[in-house]
Amino acid sequence: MAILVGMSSLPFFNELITEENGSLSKWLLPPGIQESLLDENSKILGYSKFRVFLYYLLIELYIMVASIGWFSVAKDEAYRYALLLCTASAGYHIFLILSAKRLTWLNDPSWKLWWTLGIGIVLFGLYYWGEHTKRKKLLAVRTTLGSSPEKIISPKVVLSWLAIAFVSTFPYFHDIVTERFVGVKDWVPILGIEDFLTLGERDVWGFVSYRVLLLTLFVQMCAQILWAGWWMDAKYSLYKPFLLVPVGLSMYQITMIVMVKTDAYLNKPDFKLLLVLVFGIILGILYYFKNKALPLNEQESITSVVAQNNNR
Amino acid sequence: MIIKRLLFAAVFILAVSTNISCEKEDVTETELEVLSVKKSEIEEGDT
Repeated sequence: MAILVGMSSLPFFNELITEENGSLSKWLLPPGIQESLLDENSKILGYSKFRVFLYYLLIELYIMVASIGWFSVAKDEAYRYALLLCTASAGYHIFLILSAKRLTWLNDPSWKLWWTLGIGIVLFGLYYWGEHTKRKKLLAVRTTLGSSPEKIISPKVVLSWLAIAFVSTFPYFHDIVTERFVGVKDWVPILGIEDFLTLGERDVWGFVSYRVLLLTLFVQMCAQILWAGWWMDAKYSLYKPFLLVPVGLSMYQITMIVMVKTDAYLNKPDFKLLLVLVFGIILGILYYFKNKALPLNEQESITSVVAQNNNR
Repeated sequence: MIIKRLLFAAVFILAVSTNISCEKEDVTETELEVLSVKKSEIEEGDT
């Protein structure tokens, strides 16, 4: 529970650990840490400002926590292992940020897409092998009962895997469709979205460029989808209502990006954000105290019955 | 059970208080602006 709430405030964590002049709070880390992260161009591991560095680092961590959380509860779901693609994607980007390798070939989108494909095939193979073994054992029972064997690979399963694999590309989607300091790539069809969003020179819906907008929007959408997925699959979990807090916070961030076309704060703890937090917490507490949690053995039996019904 | 419930309540009060810590009286609007990331603040090189 504490982890959940702590993680939900990660995108705002930079507020807590920086001084007003941008340096780290002394209570947290000794002076000199920020300076030690400066590279030869006086940047923080390639980022223009320390708080921007923290913002993206913590969002990646936020995504990784959500993907692990969803993975841990989706025990009976066919797409469970696909979620590891999201975990791997977020973990890899954390590595790139901390090792200052963002400007190297390691951050090349085609390299990451090939790895996504490779890891995806391996994970799908593991899923198929696991299901095949499990169903082989049940074959005798099914033959006796006269029911037809279930298909392991159905259109629904393939679609869910493809959808989650697509979501795992969100943290670098901006790299796929745009080039740094150049703009949209030639192969991308012109749909007029960029023109519609461009309001002036260095003003694309409040951001300095279309690429920055895409990065910020897609990392937030990735987090939103994964936290919402965790919330949906956290059946019979006591903490389920509290997942509304991070889901609400991510939705707030997306709303700020999409609905406010001028320049705006992305993580300022203002009145609207506090409202989201307070309502999320009140909802969580209300549902928590109404939740007459079932004993563990009953939870497991109900979960397995529900899963069996879904598979039919 | 009561301890567990008190613990949950404490955790949420902590979560809220940390998020509103910048709203204390001696922090002005200008200082809040300095602490937060703005859309226009993110450079192309940060992507």
